[in-house]
Amino acid sequence: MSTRVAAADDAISTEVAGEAVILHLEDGVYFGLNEVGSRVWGLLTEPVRVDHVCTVIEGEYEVDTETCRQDVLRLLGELADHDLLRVVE
Amino acid sequence: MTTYRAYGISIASEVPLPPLPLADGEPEVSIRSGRVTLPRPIVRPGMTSFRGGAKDGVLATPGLAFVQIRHGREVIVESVGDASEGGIRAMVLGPVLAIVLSQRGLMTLHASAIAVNGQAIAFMGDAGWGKSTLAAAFHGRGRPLVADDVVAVSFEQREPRVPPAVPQVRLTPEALDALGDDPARFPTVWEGTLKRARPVEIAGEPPVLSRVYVLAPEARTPITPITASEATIEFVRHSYAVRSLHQTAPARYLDQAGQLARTVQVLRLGRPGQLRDVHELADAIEQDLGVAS
Repeated sequence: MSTRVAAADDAISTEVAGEAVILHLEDGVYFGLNEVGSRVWGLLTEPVRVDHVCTVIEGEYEVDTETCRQDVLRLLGELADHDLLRVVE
Repeated sequence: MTTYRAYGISIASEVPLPPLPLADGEPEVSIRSGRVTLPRPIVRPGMTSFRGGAKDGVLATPGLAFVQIRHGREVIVESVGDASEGGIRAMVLGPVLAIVLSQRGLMTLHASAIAVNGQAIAFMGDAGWGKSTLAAAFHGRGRPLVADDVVAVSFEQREPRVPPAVPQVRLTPEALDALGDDPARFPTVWEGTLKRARPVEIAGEPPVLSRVYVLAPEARTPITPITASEATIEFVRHSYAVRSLHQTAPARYLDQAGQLARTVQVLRLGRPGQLRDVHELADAIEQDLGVAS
């Protein structure tokens, strides 16, 4: 939870109608994220602690701590699986 | 050197480009024969490759030429050995001009577009899915062509506009048959393809792009609107230079794709299997546009 993460260098994105559209340059893979996902993605422009991401999302959306933590970790996991996330030392 | 007009720009070219209308005045782009000086891409059989960045680079097609393109203004064509003139012409009119346009800040889609009541309607889809055939079908219904194969989108004015391109549609003999034309009347685009060049009427001024249909053969329903973020992804997927996109201007292209997706209506268009149904498809589109004849 104290790990710091950020968007991968190879990922570029744009926002369309409140949703983030992400393109992975090397892999040529495209992603659309919904509103919450786009908010998380917005936090990854600078290196950020995972627990800080959870705090922000919990504060902005009506969701309990445990559900929020699970959802955020799952989303970060998916982003990592597709090379869209990097861990910052 | 002859000066031509296409995509809203004047082009002075040593390579003859007959389908294009002639123009006078100061050319904005020059195309000459010569020697390429920038680093060349690795040439792979059957593929066109590109090496460079957003403002300059070299395009290569095996057996045809290396073409250096700089700042959307200077093009140098270095032909290979006994390269076919028709092949070089097809390269210049297609991928080379697309890169010139991209270097000049336009978005380039792999699509065809026609004009309906002064607005541009585009058809996007992979090779062989019928974009050109649909455009030709509409031409037969009195709708001028705006572009076939490279649809350039300009964001200079408030609304996205599509400058009129090369006044011809490139069709397979089967497609020409389905449209009631005799393939034998039209020359092949060049010796390396079966497609024929069919000259058509082209739009005068650059119409505003108002609607885009994405050809999706697997779709079960005929016409379905898609969300803006799905549309953004489709614009990236169908960009003209998708293979070299990560080298040219990907961030700018993605922003343009998003901007376009917020401005135009994008719909998925299911396509029946046989070419013969192109007329039914054109009927469905006319109905969707509210211009059924």
